[in-house]
Amino acid sequence: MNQKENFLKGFIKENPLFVTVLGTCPALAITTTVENALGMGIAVFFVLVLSNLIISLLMVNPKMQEWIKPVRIPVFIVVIATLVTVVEMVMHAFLTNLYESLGVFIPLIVVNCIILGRAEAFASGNKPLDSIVDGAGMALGYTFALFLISFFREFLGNGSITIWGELKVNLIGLFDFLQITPIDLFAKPVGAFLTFGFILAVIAAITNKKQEKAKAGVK
Amino acid sequence: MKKGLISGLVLLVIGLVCGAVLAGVNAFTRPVILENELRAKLAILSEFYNVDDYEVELIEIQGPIDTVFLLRNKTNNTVIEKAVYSVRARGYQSDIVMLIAVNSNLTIDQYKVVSQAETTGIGDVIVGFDFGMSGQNVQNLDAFSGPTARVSSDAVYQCFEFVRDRVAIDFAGSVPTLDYTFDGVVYNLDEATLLTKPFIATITVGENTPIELYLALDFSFVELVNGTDPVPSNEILADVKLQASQTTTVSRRTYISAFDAVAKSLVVKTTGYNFDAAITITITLNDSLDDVVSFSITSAESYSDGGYDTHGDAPGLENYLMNRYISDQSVDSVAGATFSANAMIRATQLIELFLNRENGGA
Repeated sequence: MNQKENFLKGFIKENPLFVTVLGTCPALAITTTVENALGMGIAVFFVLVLSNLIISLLMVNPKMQEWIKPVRIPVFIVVIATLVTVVEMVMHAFLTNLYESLGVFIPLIVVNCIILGRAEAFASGNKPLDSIVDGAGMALGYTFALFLISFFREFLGNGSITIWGELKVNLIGLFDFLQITPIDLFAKPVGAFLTFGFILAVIAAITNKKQEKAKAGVK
Repeated sequence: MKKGLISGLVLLVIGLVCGAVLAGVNAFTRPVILENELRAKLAILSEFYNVDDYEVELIEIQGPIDTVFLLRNKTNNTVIEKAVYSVRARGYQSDIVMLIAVNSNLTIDQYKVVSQAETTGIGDVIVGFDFGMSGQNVQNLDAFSGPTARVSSDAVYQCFEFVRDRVAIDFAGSVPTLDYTFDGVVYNLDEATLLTKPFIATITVGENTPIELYLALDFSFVELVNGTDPVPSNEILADVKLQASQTTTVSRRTYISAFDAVAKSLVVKTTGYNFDAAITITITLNDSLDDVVSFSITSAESYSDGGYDTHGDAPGLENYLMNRYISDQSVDSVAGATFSANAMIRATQLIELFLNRENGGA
């Protein structure tokens, strides 16, 4: 697998949210606005890339690998928890609104399966550069998934898209034109499940179609 | 064994390195976080006053009052002109956070509900509601006119009480200490005077013998029980009113509103959740005035809910508890309708006190 494939697999083929269905709790909880989704995405990007790098550096030496292997899960958790705490403190200091908006889901990144999963499945057995690329691809794929869910939820639920801070696109005129009001349900947890379910269904339909075509081609 | 030890040491070293990294980041971010928090708190304060007009001292404490802003005179910072309290109390379904500003003469200047999540259309009417507290002396709080959402209103009143209990600390030296002790307050059960003077408070001024005071329904002083005792100062009387309103031995929500010795009838009023309409219990006593012959509920708080209430249609709860009381069963607790039930329990306790007295008891 070259670096390009390594990077892109996180977007579609192995998208952590839509394909492997990892990290769904924060994904459903914080996707009320696009800003939240981007904020969470940035936090996950920082943690995932750096944790992959550090773990890969720790495990690249065979002697270190031998010492760490029996205690690798505690080691991974310590590294991830440190990075998450750094993100939390920096966000609290410099992005207070986002920090309050994401709330408990920032410290919960520690137990996000994507981070620990990539550390165990990829970073602990690959070179540092490959691990960085893998982490970046996975984090961006996760961010893209969060963005997609939050885009539909905020648009349908509030009639607007909050990109960052005051930067907001108001689409309520579209609703007025159609003589309907935003569907409040999408801003609530049930809306998160519905949106997530619809997106998964669309992805499944496309995948099935492709597989059918592939089978037909083989025949 | 050796391998395990090395693995443990590696984990320890990684943990130490991570701890050092966190300490470094914390040293860098902590001042910024504290500064942001201070700025946010000053923004709250600016709801009431122009912060630039005062030298602001911020005190953070534990408890229902989390922050005290002392607004000192800019030219003479020993003078505290105002104190603003950020205070919270539990409402019906949320914490109600208020800002209460007190002047240096201890009168309430301004107040505002700044945060709450009470029931829409019921509890949330406390936001922007004029409770009539402006200008009142915070150490001598009167009953206020709250909306009928009782639990939410009580939380607002509780916020004022928390400030009352704290204010002397902040305006140290401004508040005189009173040389007296409040010994307690009881119901006045004397047939001749109980309607106009429902409570009797006992105090001791200085080293003297106790003095008994008649108090009105709002706990304000009416007259001395023994006319030859010295009349306490107005400051003491104001404090007596305050202390009496905080006691649990009596309640101004439960009192005898009428007594007819000839007809042998007693009317007791008691309030649960509905401040606007008390429960009224009319009781007929026996000839020796020491037992209940019959009763009727002439106004009630409970309501009919289509037969779902286990006590039946209104006044089901009131009748249920009174019937239990006159048949000598316990009325100490009852499931459901907590506020109305507590009002009825207080009423039966008052009736019992009255009957005991007529029966030669206390």
